[in-house]
Amino acid sequence: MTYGEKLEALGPPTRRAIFEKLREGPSSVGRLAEGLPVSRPAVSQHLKVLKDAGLVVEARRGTERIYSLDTEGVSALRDYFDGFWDDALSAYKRSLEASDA
Amino acid sequence: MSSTAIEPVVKRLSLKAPPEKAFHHFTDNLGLWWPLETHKLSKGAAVSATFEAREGGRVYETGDDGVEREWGRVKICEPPHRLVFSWVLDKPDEATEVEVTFEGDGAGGTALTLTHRGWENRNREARDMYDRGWTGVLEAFGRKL
Repeated sequence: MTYGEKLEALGPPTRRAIFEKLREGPSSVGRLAEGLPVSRPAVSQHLKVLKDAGLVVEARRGTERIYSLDTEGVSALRDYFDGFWDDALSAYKRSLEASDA
Repeated sequence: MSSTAIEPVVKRLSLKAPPEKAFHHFTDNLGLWWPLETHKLSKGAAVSATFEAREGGRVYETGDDGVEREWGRVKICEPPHRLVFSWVLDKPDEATEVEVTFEGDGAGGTALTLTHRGWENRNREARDMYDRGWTGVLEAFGRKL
């Protein structure tokens, strides 16, 4: 799963809001839907996209499905930025030192 | 509820320019040095990048469609030594934070340190709202939709 796909998964505001709520801790579809002006099926659909993007994991608790952030997915974002800043800062250094003339 | 700390991204760089120059090049000349061809939010081409070097200023790219896409907001601006700005993944909130410091190295150059942190933190605005309780949070989420 690439960073671009993760970003795209977080694009729609509702999906982003779901992701933000899961930062607070694991939750069921029902509880996620309570805070959002969308239906439970819509929330489920968003969760599926987040799951496919490797940002959210699903677990079963009794009859309920509980969703939580996929720490590995969030770590992958962090790792992406590790390389991202290497690239950006080397471009910065080249530009700064070239302007030294 | 569990939360696993994720190490910040830390980058260190030696620059052959004094802090004043390095700082202003970083901010005022962002559009000159930023690798926009690969580091952009726009689906199409991005034509410029802007760093408003003041507290509350915006950091953003402008796409060839004329749309400004925000990368973050400046939280602390202390020329020529320190910048702190939020770094959004794709939406104007404050999910992560970047701090850049510029220290003179005593030989006319600069030691730059960039720290990108807060991978597990929720944004400041949300934290403040949580302090006031769930109602505010949910109202704000509703407003953002």
